[in-house]
Amino acid sequence: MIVEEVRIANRLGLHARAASLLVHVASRFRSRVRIGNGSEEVDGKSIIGLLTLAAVCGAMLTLRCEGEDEREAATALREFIEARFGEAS
Amino acid sequence: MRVSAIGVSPGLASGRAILLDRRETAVFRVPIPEGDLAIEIARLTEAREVARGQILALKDRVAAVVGETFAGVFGAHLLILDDPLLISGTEEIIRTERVNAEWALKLVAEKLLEAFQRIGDDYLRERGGDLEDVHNRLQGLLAGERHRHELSELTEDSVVVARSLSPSDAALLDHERVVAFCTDVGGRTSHIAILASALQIPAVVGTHDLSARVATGDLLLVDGNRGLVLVRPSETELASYRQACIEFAQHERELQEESNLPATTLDGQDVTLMANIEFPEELDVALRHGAKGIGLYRSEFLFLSRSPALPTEEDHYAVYTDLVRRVAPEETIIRTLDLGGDKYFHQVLARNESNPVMGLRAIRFCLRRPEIFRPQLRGLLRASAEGNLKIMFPLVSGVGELRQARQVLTECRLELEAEGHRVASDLKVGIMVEVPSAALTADHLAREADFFSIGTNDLLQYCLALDRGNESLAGLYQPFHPALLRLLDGVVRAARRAGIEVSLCGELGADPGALPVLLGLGLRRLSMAPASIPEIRSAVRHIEAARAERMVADLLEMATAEEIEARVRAEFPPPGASPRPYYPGLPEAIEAP
Repeated sequence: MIVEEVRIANRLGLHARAASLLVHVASRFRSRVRIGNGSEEVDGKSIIGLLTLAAVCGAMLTLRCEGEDEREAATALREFIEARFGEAS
Repeated sequence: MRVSAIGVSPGLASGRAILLDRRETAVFRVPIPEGDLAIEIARLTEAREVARGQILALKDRVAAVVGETFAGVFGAHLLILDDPLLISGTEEIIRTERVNAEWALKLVAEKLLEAFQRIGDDYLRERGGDLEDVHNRLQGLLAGERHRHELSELTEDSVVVARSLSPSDAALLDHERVVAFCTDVGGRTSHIAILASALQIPAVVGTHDLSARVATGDLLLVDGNRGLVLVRPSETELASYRQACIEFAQHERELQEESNLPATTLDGQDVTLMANIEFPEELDVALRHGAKGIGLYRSEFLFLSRSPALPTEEDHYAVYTDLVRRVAPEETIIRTLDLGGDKYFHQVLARNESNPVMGLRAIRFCLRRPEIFRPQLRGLLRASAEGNLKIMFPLVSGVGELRQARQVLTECRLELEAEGHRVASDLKVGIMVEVPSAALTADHLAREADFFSIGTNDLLQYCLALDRGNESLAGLYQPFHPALLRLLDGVVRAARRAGIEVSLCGELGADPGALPVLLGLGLRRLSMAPASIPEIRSAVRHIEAARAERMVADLLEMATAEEIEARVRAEFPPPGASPRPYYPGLPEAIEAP
């Protein structure tokens, strides 16, 4: 299992569009993806889970990826979050 | 029964009520034998597949009517359909508790909705509505309703009645058998109202408890011109309605025949009629009705459709460029972000302002938030090289604010030029005159603004200290109040003395009854909802401007709105029988109980 930490940098946090995009990225991999924020942890392939995580700007997320492509998944997700979900805001 | 509310899309229609019931489908717990559990899971899978098809079709139809961005919400619906928490969770409950799919789905959805309720952030909490929408759709499908939102079996003209309409419901308005709609909640600027207007379907909103007082199948008469709904009308009322329809159709035909004629008064004064639009998609209707340019493009939609993300400079540039190219050689006046007040809400606005109409909104907000204002200005400046574009700042209250806004604009221009972008060299920059302080200092403002556009809605509300959404004040909302006439007169005079253009883009400009007053004040440029243009053109052609000007000289001496209104009606009676409105709605006769 790969565990990574990444801080949310875009101003609006993990809002609906960012969460949708994150689900799309996570779903490209076969590995199980868990995303945690404080004491909460949810399935990274679940839009409902990510939204109810209510992660705001500055929140430190924990990524846990487990499976055959866990390394690629963790890297892709971390980079995507660091790149502010591909948005300018 | 007669209900008076807000007409948001003109026209007359009659049809049978179709009640869009928001009550949940009743769901019961049914124990399932071990051997049949696979059937329950298959039922869920099948419902999801049908739902997917429905959502994709909705997405396409909504995109075709109001544009891709508005359809974005359905992307989230599709993800929810495949969400592991919802779907695997439901399958798990079916297997472990040995219950029917409906019950398992309900248990899981309710638990997830509770999680949304606990979220502190308003925006994210409201996303629970998307889950609810998908859950209701799946429950309907499991209960065997294939056409819950399709209405495809409608065989007679129908009026959709609902408490409110969600984006999922929007596409059903695009059905040929849906002739009108009424919602209990909503205002003039709700998205559904704007959509009905774009589709040219009569609509009345703000009907309070209408949806609780009518039953599916009740005959309804809807008058979108005057915001009236008649429930189960009498024979007399029906006869009056049929007569009104004939007159309305006749009236529309006459207007259509005139659509190529110039908007010129009896004494040869040319009047420029422009359109107020909100979606780029409305442009076609505006041009078909003969609009000579766009007098007001409300850029808020660009912000709302991407909410909560903010539009980038490229987003602004792309939308404005497309618009000005299509409108050229006529002009397009684009108003910078007018977020806030009673109209638009967005994540970025401060919450809990005690009086948002007088709060941090429009230009005040933009000047404080350069990261929002600058990308819009840069997009506008770049688009100015592609057509006849003018920039307009909203809610300017005095010269100081105009100078600040122009300063930011100049900085953006210099940056762009340094980066090698083209910007129109003679770009005109004007202001909305909608705050009394701006109207009273119009002479100063006219020296620094290239044009004025008078926003009568806000000007009236601030001038008379009246909330126009407040029904108990409706009688006091007097567009002919002497104070407003004096303000308008001052603004037009100041613009004339300075030699700058002045136009009017409030609702008053779409009111044929007010037209003689506006022309009499010297206004020759009016911008209005596209659908109102033919009617105003016709009215212009029946007015003698010189006579209107003489009348206004008298009006400015009058003490009350009642005196002014009586004089206008006496001097410029509507054509045809005297007490009938220009735009015939349901005749007065049926208003009697």
